[in-house]
Amino acid sequence: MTTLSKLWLFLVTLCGGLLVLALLVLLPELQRVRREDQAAGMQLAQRTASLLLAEQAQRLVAAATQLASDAVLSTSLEEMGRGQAELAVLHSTAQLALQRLSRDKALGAAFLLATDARGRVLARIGQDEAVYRDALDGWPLVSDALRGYRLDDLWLWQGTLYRVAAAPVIAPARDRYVGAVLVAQVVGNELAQTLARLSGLEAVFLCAGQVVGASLPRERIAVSELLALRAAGAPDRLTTWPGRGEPVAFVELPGTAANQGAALVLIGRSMAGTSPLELARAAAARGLPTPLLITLIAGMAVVFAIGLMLLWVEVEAPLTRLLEAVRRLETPSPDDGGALLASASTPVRAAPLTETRFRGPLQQLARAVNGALRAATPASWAKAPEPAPSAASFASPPAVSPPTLSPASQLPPTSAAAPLASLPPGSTGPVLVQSGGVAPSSGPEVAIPTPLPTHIHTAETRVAVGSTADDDLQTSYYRVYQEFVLARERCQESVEGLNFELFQQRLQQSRDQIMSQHNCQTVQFHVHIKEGRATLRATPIWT
Amino acid sequence: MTRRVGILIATSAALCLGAARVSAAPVHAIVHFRQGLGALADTSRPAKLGYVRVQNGVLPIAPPLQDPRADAVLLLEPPAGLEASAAPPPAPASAPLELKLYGLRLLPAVVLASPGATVVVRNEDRLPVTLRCTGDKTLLPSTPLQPGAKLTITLPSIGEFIIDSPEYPHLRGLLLVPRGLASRLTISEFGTVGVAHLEAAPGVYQAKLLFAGRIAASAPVMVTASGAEFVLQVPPVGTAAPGPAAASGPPR
Repeated sequence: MTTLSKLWLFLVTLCGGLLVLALLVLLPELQRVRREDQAAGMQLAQRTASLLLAEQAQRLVAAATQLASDAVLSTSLEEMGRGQAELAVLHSTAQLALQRLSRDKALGAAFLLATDARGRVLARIGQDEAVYRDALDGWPLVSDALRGYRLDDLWLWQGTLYRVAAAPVIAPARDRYVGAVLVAQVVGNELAQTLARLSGLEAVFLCAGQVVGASLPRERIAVSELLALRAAGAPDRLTTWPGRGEPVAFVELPGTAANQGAALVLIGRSMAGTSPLELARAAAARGLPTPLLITLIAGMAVVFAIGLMLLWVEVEAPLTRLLEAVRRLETPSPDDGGALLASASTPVRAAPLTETRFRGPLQQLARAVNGALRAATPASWAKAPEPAPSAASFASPPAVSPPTLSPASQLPPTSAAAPLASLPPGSTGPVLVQSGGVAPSSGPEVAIPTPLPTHIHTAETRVAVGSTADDDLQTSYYRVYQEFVLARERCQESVEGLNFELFQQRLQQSRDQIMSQHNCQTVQFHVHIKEGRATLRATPIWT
Repeated sequence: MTRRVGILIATSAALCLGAARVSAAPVHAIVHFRQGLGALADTSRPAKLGYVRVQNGVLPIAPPLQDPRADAVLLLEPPAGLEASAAPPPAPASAPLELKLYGLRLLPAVVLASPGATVVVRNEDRLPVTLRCTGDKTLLPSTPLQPGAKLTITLPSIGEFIIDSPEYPHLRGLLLVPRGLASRLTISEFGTVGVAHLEAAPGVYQAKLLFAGRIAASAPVMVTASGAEFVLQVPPVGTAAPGPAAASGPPR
């Protein structure tokens, strides 16, 4: 598994590096593609806006032509030119005709008016309806319509920009022109919003240095900056709004209002806030990058994800098991104490401690487990009486410290695994302590791990030697002796003067004493390392 | 070229010196309006009025309501530096000149005046109109001229004072204080010929035709003691062919 881990680590690093490299190479390309797309989109929007305005002008001229063919209007204007009819009556008649014609909601006319052959207004609807006889022939649109042209124009009239279409009115005899009909639509917010919907850009109509229509709130429009930007270069060009980074396209509007600076401004979205995901999406919509590159990046991303998942499984699963054990220890019971301990101690030994980066967290976790175990130990286990020297204790020889045995008679049968005996201060010999009695039904012994010096590995701190009644005592004693010697060596304690005969004799005496005191069937000995010293622990067994 | 100019100036000076003792000679100018006049007149308008401009297809296109030929002016300007002796400016008219604002146009489109002449501008429209003179910003007030109101302006010196309106960009007029002699044309019935009669001192002049707000034709003219007669072609021979808007007809 370690080999696999390193292989996956290498693959993950490689894929991650390639992914980052690909993104680093790809992002500028995506941004360039995005800029080109945006420029192309702005140009397309320019053409679309021009076409839309031209198409609307065509429709308005067609509507004016249709209105000019009205017989009532034609007759009224002819009579006005002759000057033989009552002008007020002609005005009312023509106005009624215009009202009837203006009911076309699809036309959306702001005003309609009819003039005679000299450009004098006979009737108007939508604006100053009571006024007539005033002349409008100074407008090129009106004078051209009176000559026979069907045309349109843009007027800035009293602060509002109008698209005005005019058509000549022909006499019923079809021999001369008797007047003209004008139809006007407002070029304002509604048209700007329509353009914005079609182009995906913000649209602003400028005329005479002010905003006459916009698809966005007026307070967001810096008119002076737009005018300066427009004056800085050629008309109908693409540019970028300085300081805001927004692409701007100007569409010069024709007509009389062109002399007042009428223009349509299309404002795009700045690329400053565009995320790489949006860039990639926009590029993908255009067919870029190539499918091969997309497949490559996707493959690398998949390998990267699999590697991360395997690493997670390798690292997180043991930790998860430990955490589960800790959670179980929060509600312990005497029956599963040993099992919990075993499960808790297993991952600590099995963890890949060779990985330096995991060592710290795992040690912290082990300490947490130890603390949890200590905290979760039932009171009957943890609150053992203080060990007291007894008559059964071994006296340490001068050279060798023989095991010290605490008599079992000083312990209650159900006492926990607290140390029962310890060496006197300054003693260098082993300490034999007696664990609490184990209930007849409970097999495993109970021991409480204690924090150890850092130079002693946790996996070596506790060595249990099975010693049941059926085993050969001699063999068991020798195994305990071996483990004891090993433990002392590990604790860097002296083993000089130790011999098996004396060790066995003392263990036998301790066994007999404990069995007599506790009336148990056998005694199990454990080699235990506590506070950097090797000790022996005896556990009475009743089963 | 320098020699020719020197001879011309010397001749002009001699004629002018003689003119002090000789009375003014008659000058007859004939202006021939050729085909293509309509296109020439349209150059004073916005380059593109709107998106659509088509003929109606029922009747032919009629001549314009206001024929620019009616506002054509013949100018007879002396060579530079000799204007004082060769052609003194006309004396100020006793009655003030009038410029009328009606139908959102200025009538007449060209006003001939002498230095120091008074011009009354009257608004006979139903809307207030702001007038401005880009050549002399102090000539006209910045406030709108209300309907029915009038204002009097005094032309300061020789020059062309173009009057327009910021609210109605199509509105345009010209107050002309010529450097030499100037006269309106008398247009023939069919509008193909215009005639102007001037009294000028003998000398060399530059004849110019001001048509639709621009100098449409120009030619040098030498006026002798017996007078002079010359013909101007408009548009000049060899210029562009008539456009689709060309139309010639009687002025209204």
